Amino acid sequence: MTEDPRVRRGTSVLWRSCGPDVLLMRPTDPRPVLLEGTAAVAWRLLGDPRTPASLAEELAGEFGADAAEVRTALDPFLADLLHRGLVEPVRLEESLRG
Amino acid sequence: MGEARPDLVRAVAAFGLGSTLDGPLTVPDGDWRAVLGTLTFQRLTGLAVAAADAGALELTAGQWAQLLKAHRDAMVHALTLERTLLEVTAALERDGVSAVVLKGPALAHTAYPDPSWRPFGDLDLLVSVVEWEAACAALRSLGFSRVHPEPRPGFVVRFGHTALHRSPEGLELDLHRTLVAGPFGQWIDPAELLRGTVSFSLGGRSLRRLDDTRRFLHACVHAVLGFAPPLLLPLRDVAQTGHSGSVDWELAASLARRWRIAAVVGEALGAAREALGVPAPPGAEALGALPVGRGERRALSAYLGPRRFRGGPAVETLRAIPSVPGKVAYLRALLLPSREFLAARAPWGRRPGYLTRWTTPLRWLRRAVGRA
Repeated sequence: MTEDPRVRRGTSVLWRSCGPDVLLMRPTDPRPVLLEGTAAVAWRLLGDPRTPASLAEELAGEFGADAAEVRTALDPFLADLLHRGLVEPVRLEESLRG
Repeated sequence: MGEARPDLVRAVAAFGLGSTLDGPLTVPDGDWRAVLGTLTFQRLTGLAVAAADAGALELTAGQWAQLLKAHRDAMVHALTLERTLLEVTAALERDGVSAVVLKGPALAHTAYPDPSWRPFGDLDLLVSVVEWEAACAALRSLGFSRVHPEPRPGFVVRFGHTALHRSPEGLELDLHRTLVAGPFGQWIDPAELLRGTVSFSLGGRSLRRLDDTRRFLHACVHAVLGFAPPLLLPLRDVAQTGHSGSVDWELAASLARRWRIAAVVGEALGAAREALGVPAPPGAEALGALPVGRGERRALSAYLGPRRFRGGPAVETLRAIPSVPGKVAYLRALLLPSREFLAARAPWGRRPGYLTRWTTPLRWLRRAVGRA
Protein backbone atom coordinates (compact mmCIF):
# COMPACT_ATOMS: atom_id res chain seq x y z
CA MET A 1 0.00 0.00 0.00
CA THR A 2 1.38 3.46 -0.89
CA GLU A 3 1.10 6.19 1.68
CA ASP A 4 -0.63 9.46 0.70
CA PRO A 5 1.84 12.15 -0.33
CA ARG A 6 2.32 14.88 2.22
CA VAL A 7 1.15 18.40 1.39
CA ARG A 8 1.80 21.80 2.93
CA ARG A 9 1.01 25.46 2.36
CA GLY A 10 2.41 26.78 -0.90
CA THR A 11 5.67 28.62 -0.20
CA SER A 12 4.69 31.58 -2.40
CA VAL A 13 1.24 32.00 -0.88
CA LEU A 14 0.51 35.29 0.89
CA TRP A 15 -1.89 34.86 3.80
CA ARG A 16 -3.23 36.45 6.96
CA SER A 17 -5.25 35.40 9.96
CA CYS A 18 -8.49 37.30 10.51
CA GLY A 19 -9.57 36.03 13.91
CA PRO A 20 -10.72 32.46 13.26
CA ASP A 21 -10.65 32.94 9.47
CA VAL A 22 -7.81 33.04 6.99
CA LEU A 23 -7.31 35.16 3.85
CA LEU A 24 -4.91 33.82 1.25
CA MET A 25 -3.74 34.45 -2.28
CA ARG A 26 -0.95 33.61 -4.67
CA PRO A 27 1.07 36.58 -5.94
CA THR A 28 -0.61 36.13 -9.33
CA ASP A 29 -4.17 36.11 -8.00
CA PRO A 30 -6.32 39.22 -8.40
CA ARG A 31 -7.80 39.00 -4.90
CA PRO A 32 -7.57 36.86 -1.77
CA VAL A 33 -9.92 34.01 -0.93
CA LEU A 34 -11.40 33.58 2.53
CA LEU A 35 -11.27 30.30 4.43
CA GLU A 36 -13.60 29.89 7.38
CA GLY A 37 -14.28 27.25 10.03
CA THR A 38 -12.69 23.85 9.43
CA ALA A 39 -11.01 25.06 6.25
CA ALA A 40 -9.16 27.79 8.18
CA VAL A 41 -8.08 25.29 10.85
CA ALA A 42 -6.86 22.93 8.12
CA TRP A 43 -4.85 25.76 6.55
CA ARG A 44 -3.15 26.55 9.85
CA LEU A 45 -2.27 22.88 10.36
CA LEU A 46 -0.72 22.77 6.88
CA GLY A 47 2.11 24.96 8.10
CA ASP A 48 3.80 21.60 8.69
CA PRO A 49 3.59 18.97 5.94
CA ARG A 50 0.86 16.42 6.52
CA THR A 51 -0.76 13.54 4.67
CA PRO A 52 -4.48 14.01 3.99
CA ALA A 53 -5.14 11.12 6.36
CA SER A 54 -3.23 12.65 9.27
CA LEU A 55 -4.83 16.04 8.60
CA ALA A 56 -8.29 14.44 8.63
CA GLU A 57 -7.51 12.74 11.94
CA GLU A 58 -6.35 15.97 13.54
CA LEU A 59 -9.39 17.85 12.33
CA ALA A 60 -11.67 15.07 13.51
CA GLY A 61 -10.03 15.28 16.94
CA GLU A 62 -10.36 19.06 16.99
CA PHE A 63 -14.05 19.07 16.05
CA GLY A 64 -15.12 15.78 17.66
CA ALA A 65 -16.11 14.30 14.30
CA ASP A 66 -15.57 10.99 12.55
CA ALA A 67 -12.19 10.89 10.73
CA ALA A 68 -13.60 9.05 7.71
CA GLU A 69 -16.34 11.64 7.27
CA VAL A 70 -13.85 14.47 7.63
CA ARG A 71 -11.62 12.80 5.03
CA THR A 72 -14.52 12.62 2.59
CA ALA A 73 -15.05 16.36 2.88
CA LEU A 74 -11.34 17.13 3.03
CA ASP A 75 -10.24 15.44 -0.19
CA PRO A 76 -12.09 17.74 -2.63
CA PHE A 77 -11.04 20.76 -0.55
CA LEU A 78 -7.37 19.76 -0.72
CA ALA A 79 -7.70 18.95 -4.41
CA ASP A 80 -9.07 22.44 -5.01
CA LEU A 81 -6.24 24.06 -3.04
CA LEU A 82 -3.71 21.97 -4.98
CA HIS A 83 -5.34 22.94 -8.26
CA ARG A 84 -5.15 26.62 -7.33
CA GLY A 85 -1.51 26.26 -6.27
CA LEU A 86 -2.32 27.25 -2.69
CA VAL A 87 -0.93 24.01 -1.25
CA GLU A 88 1.87 21.93 -2.72
CA PRO A 89 3.02 18.36 -2.41
CA VAL A 90 6.21 17.84 -0.44
CA ARG A 91 8.90 16.36 -2.68
CA LEU A 92 10.08 12.88 -1.81
CA GLU A 93 13.60 13.92 -0.80
CA GLU A 94 12.24 16.67 1.49
CA SER A 95 9.76 14.19 2.86
CA LEU A 96 12.56 11.78 3.69
CA ARG A 97 14.54 14.55 5.35
CA GLY A 98 11.62 15.88 7.34
CA MET B 1 -9.92 63.24 15.15
CA GLY B 2 -11.56 63.01 18.59
CA GLU B 3 -10.68 59.72 20.22
CA ALA B 4 -13.25 57.54 21.93
CA ARG B 5 -12.20 55.68 25.09
CA PRO B 6 -8.50 56.58 24.79
CA ASP B 7 -7.68 54.31 27.75
CA LEU B 8 -9.11 51.30 25.95
CA VAL B 9 -7.54 52.15 22.60
CA ARG B 10 -4.13 52.54 24.26
CA ALA B 11 -4.55 49.22 26.06
CA VAL B 12 -5.29 47.59 22.70
CA ALA B 13 -2.22 49.26 21.18
CA ALA B 14 -0.12 47.80 24.01
CA PHE B 15 -1.59 44.29 23.78
CA GLY B 16 1.05 41.56 23.93
CA LEU B 17 3.82 43.81 25.24
CA GLY B 18 3.54 42.47 28.77
CA SER B 19 1.50 45.22 30.38
CA THR B 20 -1.14 43.90 32.77
CA LEU B 21 -4.81 44.81 32.82
CA ASP B 22 -7.10 44.78 35.85
CA GLY B 23 -9.57 42.65 33.94
CA PRO B 24 -11.00 42.16 30.46
CA LEU B 25 -11.86 45.41 28.71
CA THR B 26 -15.44 45.95 27.60
CA VAL B 27 -17.03 48.58 25.39
CA PRO B 28 -20.58 49.83 26.00
CA ASP B 29 -22.59 49.71 22.78
CA GLY B 30 -22.97 53.49 22.91
CA ASP B 31 -19.19 53.91 22.57
CA TRP B 32 -18.56 51.08 20.16
CA ARG B 33 -18.99 52.89 16.87
CA ALA B 34 -16.51 55.59 17.84
CA VAL B 35 -14.09 53.03 19.31
CA LEU B 36 -14.20 50.93 16.14
CA GLY B 37 -13.64 54.08 14.08
CA THR B 38 -10.56 54.92 16.13
CA LEU B 39 -9.21 51.35 15.99
CA THR B 40 -9.64 51.37 12.21
CA PHE B 41 -8.15 54.85 11.75
CA GLN B 42 -5.17 54.01 13.95
CA ARG B 43 -4.73 50.63 12.19
CA LEU B 44 -5.18 48.73 15.45
CA THR B 45 -7.77 46.19 14.30
CA GLY B 46 -5.20 43.36 14.25
CA LEU B 47 -4.17 44.02 17.84
CA ALA B 48 -7.83 44.34 18.83
CA VAL B 49 -8.67 40.97 17.24
CA ALA B 50 -5.69 39.39 19.01
CA ALA B 51 -6.73 40.98 22.33
CA ALA B 52 -10.29 39.71 21.88
CA ASP B 53 -9.00 36.23 20.96
CA ALA B 54 -6.94 36.17 24.14
CA GLY B 55 -9.88 37.30 26.28
CA ALA B 56 -8.32 40.67 27.14
CA LEU B 57 -11.07 42.47 25.23
CA GLU B 58 -14.61 41.23 25.75
CA LEU B 59 -16.90 42.09 22.85
CA THR B 60 -20.52 41.34 22.14
CA ALA B 61 -21.23 39.13 19.13
CA GLY B 62 -22.22 42.17 17.10
CA GLN B 63 -19.09 44.10 18.06
CA TRP B 64 -16.89 41.09 17.24
CA ALA B 65 -18.48 40.70 13.81
CA GLN B 66 -17.93 44.38 13.02
CA LEU B 67 -14.33 44.28 14.23
CA LEU B 68 -13.64 41.18 12.12
CA LYS B 69 -15.13 42.88 9.07
CA ALA B 70 -12.95 45.97 9.56
CA HIS B 71 -9.88 43.81 10.11
CA ARG B 72 -10.64 41.67 7.06
CA ASP B 73 -10.78 44.81 4.91
CA ALA B 74 -7.42 45.90 6.33
CA MET B 75 -5.91 42.48 5.62
CA VAL B 76 -7.26 42.32 2.05
CA HIS B 77 -5.54 45.66 1.49
CA ALA B 78 -2.29 44.44 3.11
CA LEU B 79 -2.24 41.29 0.95
CA THR B 80 -2.93 43.30 -2.19
CA LEU B 81 -0.05 45.60 -1.29
CA GLU B 82 2.25 42.62 -0.67
CA ARG B 83 1.37 41.19 -4.08
CA THR B 84 2.29 44.57 -5.58
CA LEU B 85 5.49 44.66 -3.54
CA LEU B 86 6.58 41.33 -5.03
CA GLU B 87 5.85 42.60 -8.52
CA VAL B 88 7.68 45.89 -7.95
CA THR B 89 10.76 44.40 -6.29
CA ALA B 90 11.06 41.83 -9.11
CA ALA B 91 10.97 44.64 -11.69
CA LEU B 92 13.52 46.68 -9.75
CA GLU B 93 15.79 43.65 -9.44
CA ARG B 94 15.55 43.06 -13.20
CA ASP B 95 16.68 46.66 -13.72
CA GLY B 96 19.58 46.26 -11.31
CA VAL B 97 18.05 48.32 -8.47
CA SER B 98 18.46 47.03 -4.91
CA ALA B 99 15.47 48.18 -2.90
CA VAL B 100 15.04 47.96 0.86
CA VAL B 101 11.53 47.40 2.19
CA LEU B 102 10.67 49.86 4.98
CA LYS B 103 7.86 49.85 7.53
CA GLY B 104 4.60 47.95 6.78
CA PRO B 105 5.40 44.52 5.32
CA ALA B 106 8.92 44.41 6.76
CA LEU B 107 7.66 45.13 10.27
CA ALA B 108 4.61 42.87 9.97
CA HIS B 109 6.69 39.85 8.95
CA THR B 110 9.77 40.31 11.09
CA ALA B 111 9.00 42.34 14.22
CA TYR B 112 5.50 41.22 15.21
CA PRO B 113 4.56 37.73 16.44
CA ASP B 114 1.82 37.55 13.78
CA PRO B 115 1.79 39.70 10.62
CA SER B 116 -1.95 40.24 11.02
CA TRP B 117 -1.18 42.40 14.08
CA ARG B 118 0.41 45.04 11.85
CA PRO B 119 -1.84 46.39 9.07
CA PHE B 120 -0.43 48.96 6.65
CA GLY B 121 -1.87 51.29 4.06
CA ASP B 122 0.93 51.74 1.54
CA LEU B 123 4.40 50.53 0.53
CA ASP B 124 7.74 52.15 1.32
CA LEU B 125 10.93 51.31 -0.54
CA LEU B 126 14.37 52.77 0.07
CA VAL B 127 16.85 52.99 -2.81
CA SER B 128 20.25 54.61 -3.13
CA VAL B 129 20.47 58.03 -4.78
CA VAL B 130 22.59 56.45 -7.52
CA GLU B 131 19.72 54.13 -8.45
CA TRP B 132 16.94 56.68 -7.97
CA GLU B 133 16.25 57.41 -11.64
CA ALA B 134 16.36 53.72 -12.56
CA ALA B 135 13.89 52.97 -9.77
CA CYS B 136 11.51 55.72 -10.97
CA ALA B 137 11.76 54.35 -14.53
CA ALA B 138 11.00 50.80 -13.35
CA LEU B 139 7.92 52.06 -11.52
CA ARG B 140 6.78 53.94 -14.63
CA SER B 141 7.18 50.75 -16.68
CA LEU B 142 4.73 49.06 -14.28
CA GLY B 143 2.19 51.81 -14.80
CA PHE B 144 2.93 53.79 -11.62
CA SER B 145 2.66 57.54 -11.85
CA ARG B 146 4.28 60.20 -9.68
CA VAL B 147 1.59 61.87 -7.56
CA HIS B 148 3.29 65.22 -6.83
CA PRO B 149 5.65 67.08 -9.12
CA GLU B 150 8.94 68.22 -7.57
CA PRO B 151 9.45 71.94 -6.85
CA ARG B 152 12.51 71.75 -9.13
CA PRO B 153 14.05 68.82 -10.99
CA GLY B 154 16.27 66.80 -8.64
CA PHE B 155 14.76 68.34 -5.48
CA VAL B 156 13.85 65.02 -3.83
CA VAL B 157 17.26 63.48 -4.42
CA ARG B 158 18.97 66.54 -2.95
CA PHE B 159 16.65 67.79 -0.23
CA GLY B 160 13.54 65.60 0.00
CA HIS B 161 13.09 62.10 1.31
CA THR B 162 10.42 60.43 -0.78
CA ALA B 163 8.43 60.52 -4.00
CA LEU B 164 4.87 59.23 -3.78
CA HIS B 165 3.87 56.94 -6.67
CA ARG B 166 0.42 55.53 -7.42
CA SER B 167 -0.29 52.26 -9.22
CA PRO B 168 -3.01 51.92 -11.87
CA GLU B 169 -5.18 50.26 -9.17
CA GLY B 170 -4.69 53.25 -6.87
CA LEU B 171 -2.17 51.64 -4.49
CA GLU B 172 0.42 54.01 -3.09
CA LEU B 173 4.16 53.47 -2.95
CA ASP B 174 6.62 55.88 -1.37
CA LEU B 175 10.04 55.71 -2.98
CA HIS B 176 12.55 56.88 -0.36
CA ARG B 177 16.09 58.17 -0.68
CA THR B 178 16.29 58.47 3.12
CA LEU B 179 14.08 58.00 6.16
CA VAL B 180 12.64 61.43 6.71
CA ALA B 181 12.39 64.92 5.24
CA GLY B 182 13.65 68.11 6.83
CA PRO B 183 16.79 68.71 8.87
CA PHE B 184 17.04 65.13 10.09
CA GLY B 185 16.87 63.97 6.47
CA GLN B 186 19.95 66.11 5.85
CA TRP B 187 21.81 64.59 8.79
CA ILE B 188 20.98 60.90 8.32
CA ASP B 189 23.57 59.33 6.03
CA PRO B 190 21.70 57.23 3.41
CA ALA B 191 24.84 55.26 2.56
CA GLU B 192 25.27 54.26 6.20
CA LEU B 193 21.61 53.35 6.29
CA LEU B 194 21.92 51.08 3.27
CA ARG B 195 24.99 49.36 4.72
CA GLY B 196 22.83 47.75 7.41
CA THR B 197 20.28 45.54 5.70
CA VAL B 198 19.24 41.91 6.10
CA SER B 199 16.95 39.61 4.14
CA PHE B 200 13.48 38.40 4.96
CA SER B 201 11.14 36.08 3.15
CA LEU B 202 7.84 37.06 1.54
CA GLY B 203 5.81 35.00 -0.88
CA GLY B 204 8.72 32.61 -1.39
CA ARG B 205 11.08 35.47 -2.33
CA SER B 206 13.95 36.98 -0.46
CA LEU B 207 13.64 40.75 0.09
CA ARG B 208 15.84 43.24 1.94
CA ARG B 209 14.91 45.24 5.03
CA LEU B 210 16.84 47.40 7.51
CA ASP B 211 18.68 45.41 10.16
CA ASP B 212 17.16 45.37 13.66
CA THR B 213 19.18 48.36 14.89
CA ARG B 214 18.40 50.64 11.97
CA ARG B 215 14.81 49.39 11.93
CA PHE B 216 14.42 50.52 15.56
CA LEU B 217 15.90 53.95 14.77
CA HIS B 218 13.59 54.30 11.79
CA ALA B 219 10.58 53.42 13.95
CA CYS B 220 11.59 56.21 16.38
CA VAL B 221 12.04 58.75 13.57
CA HIS B 222 8.73 57.84 11.95
CA ALA B 223 6.76 57.87 15.22
CA VAL B 224 7.98 61.30 16.30
CA LEU B 225 8.40 63.17 13.03
CA GLY B 226 5.67 61.50 10.96
CA PHE B 227 2.61 62.75 12.83
CA ALA B 228 1.85 65.30 15.51
CA PRO B 229 0.82 64.07 18.01
CA PRO B 230 2.31 60.61 17.36
CA LEU B 231 -0.11 57.88 16.31
CA LEU B 232 -0.36 54.74 18.40
CA LEU B 233 0.75 52.16 15.82
CA PRO B 234 4.06 53.95 15.08
CA LEU B 235 4.61 54.14 18.86
CA ARG B 236 3.85 50.45 19.08
CA ASP B 237 6.45 49.93 16.34
CA VAL B 238 8.99 51.69 18.57
CA ALA B 239 8.22 49.34 21.46
CA GLN B 240 7.94 46.28 19.21
CA THR B 241 11.21 46.83 17.35
CA GLY B 242 12.97 47.72 20.60
CA HIS B 243 11.80 44.60 22.40
CA SER B 244 12.05 42.13 19.48
CA GLY B 245 15.00 41.14 17.35
CA SER B 246 18.55 41.92 18.32
CA VAL B 247 19.15 45.65 18.46
CA ASP B 248 22.81 46.54 18.92
CA TRP B 249 22.33 49.35 21.45
CA GLU B 250 25.91 50.58 21.18
CA LEU B 251 25.58 50.87 17.41
CA ALA B 252 22.16 52.51 17.83
CA ALA B 253 23.70 55.13 20.12
CA SER B 254 26.57 55.69 17.75
CA LEU B 255 24.28 56.13 14.73
CA ALA B 256 21.90 58.34 16.71
CA ARG B 257 24.82 60.60 17.62
CA ARG B 258 26.20 60.76 14.09
CA TRP B 259 22.80 61.27 12.49
CA ARG B 260 21.84 63.80 15.17
CA ILE B 261 18.63 61.96 16.03
CA ALA B 262 19.37 61.34 19.72
CA ALA B 263 16.65 63.83 20.73
CA VAL B 264 14.19 62.15 18.36
CA VAL B 265 14.98 58.71 19.78
CA GLY B 266 14.65 59.97 23.35
CA GLU B 267 11.32 61.58 22.49
CA ALA B 268 10.08 58.37 20.82
CA LEU B 269 11.02 56.19 23.78
CA GLY B 270 9.30 58.60 26.17
CA ALA B 271 6.16 58.86 24.04
CA ALA B 272 5.94 55.07 23.62
CA ARG B 273 6.38 54.55 27.36
CA GLU B 274 3.71 57.10 28.18
CA ALA B 275 1.18 55.97 25.57
CA LEU B 276 1.59 52.23 25.97
CA GLY B 277 2.63 51.96 29.61
CA VAL B 278 5.56 49.68 28.88
CA PRO B 279 9.14 50.30 29.94
CA ALA B 280 11.86 51.12 27.43
CA PRO B 281 13.66 48.04 26.15
CA PRO B 282 16.64 46.98 28.25
CA GLY B 283 19.67 48.68 26.77
CA ALA B 284 17.71 51.61 25.37
CA GLU B 285 17.89 53.81 28.49
CA ALA B 286 21.36 55.01 27.57
CA LEU B 287 20.02 56.15 24.20
CA GLY B 288 17.51 58.42 25.88
CA ALA B 289 20.33 60.01 27.87
CA LEU B 290 22.63 60.86 24.95
CA PRO B 291 23.81 64.47 24.82
CA VAL B 292 21.68 66.58 22.49
CA GLY B 293 23.02 69.66 20.71
CA ARG B 294 21.20 72.97 20.43
CA GLY B 295 20.58 72.64 16.69
CA GLU B 296 19.16 69.20 17.14
CA ARG B 297 16.86 70.34 19.91
CA ARG B 298 15.69 73.29 17.83
CA ALA B 299 15.06 71.04 14.83
CA LEU B 300 12.96 68.68 16.93
CA SER B 301 10.95 71.55 18.39
CA ALA B 302 10.05 72.57 14.83
CA TYR B 303 8.15 69.26 14.58
CA LEU B 304 6.67 69.03 18.07
CA GLY B 305 5.34 72.54 18.53
CA PRO B 306 3.15 74.94 16.53
CA ARG B 307 6.15 75.84 14.31
CA ARG B 308 5.51 72.57 12.49
CA PHE B 309 2.61 74.23 10.69
CA ARG B 310 4.35 77.60 10.27
CA GLY B 311 7.31 76.66 8.15
CA GLY B 312 9.47 75.49 11.08
CA PRO B 313 10.73 72.31 9.36
CA ALA B 314 11.63 74.28 6.19
CA VAL B 315 13.60 76.86 8.19
CA GLU B 316 15.44 74.11 10.08
CA THR B 317 16.16 72.30 6.82
CA LEU B 318 17.71 75.47 5.47
CA ARG B 319 19.91 75.67 8.58
CA ALA B 320 20.88 71.99 8.24
CA ILE B 321 21.92 72.15 4.57
CA PRO B 322 25.71 72.29 4.85
CA SER B 323 26.77 74.51 1.93
CA VAL B 324 25.76 78.02 0.85
CA PRO B 325 25.06 76.95 -2.77
CA GLY B 326 22.88 74.18 -1.32
CA LYS B 327 20.96 76.65 0.81
CA VAL B 328 20.46 78.91 -2.20
CA ALA B 329 19.21 76.02 -4.33
CA TYR B 330 16.80 74.95 -1.57
CA LEU B 331 15.41 78.45 -1.12
CA ARG B 332 15.10 78.94 -4.86
CA ALA B 333 13.18 75.67 -5.21
CA LEU B 334 10.77 76.61 -2.45
CA LEU B 335 10.25 80.23 -3.47
CA LEU B 336 10.42 79.84 -7.24
CA PRO B 337 9.19 76.34 -7.97
CA SER B 338 8.21 75.12 -11.41
CA ARG B 339 4.83 76.12 -12.88
CA GLU B 340 3.75 72.49 -12.74
CA PHE B 341 4.46 72.36 -9.00
CA LEU B 342 2.63 75.64 -8.43
CA ALA B 343 -0.43 74.37 -10.26
CA ALA B 344 -0.44 71.14 -8.24
CA ARG B 345 -0.01 72.89 -4.89
CA ALA B 346 -2.20 75.98 -5.33
CA PRO B 347 -4.85 76.22 -2.61
CA TRP B 348 -8.26 75.09 -3.82
CA GLY B 349 -10.15 77.82 -5.68
CA ARG B 350 -7.07 80.07 -6.09
CA ARG B 351 -5.03 80.75 -9.19
CA PRO B 352 -1.57 79.20 -9.11
CA GLY B 353 1.16 81.81 -9.04
CA TYR B 354 4.16 82.97 -7.07
CA LEU B 355 2.17 85.55 -5.12
CA THR B 356 -0.27 82.88 -3.98
CA ARG B 357 2.68 80.68 -3.03
CA TRP B 358 4.36 83.43 -1.02
CA THR B 359 1.22 84.55 0.83
CA THR B 360 1.51 81.97 3.60
CA PRO B 361 5.23 82.38 4.43
CA LEU B 362 4.84 86.17 4.26
CA ARG B 363 2.03 85.92 6.80
CA TRP B 364 4.24 83.78 9.06
CA LEU B 365 7.03 86.33 8.67
CA ARG B 366 4.74 89.25 9.50
CA ARG B 367 3.52 87.45 12.64
CA ALA B 368 7.08 86.63 13.68
CA VAL B 369 8.15 90.25 13.20
CA GLY B 370 5.07 91.42 15.09
CA ARG B 371 5.91 89.10 17.99
CA ALA B 372 9.52 90.31 18.00
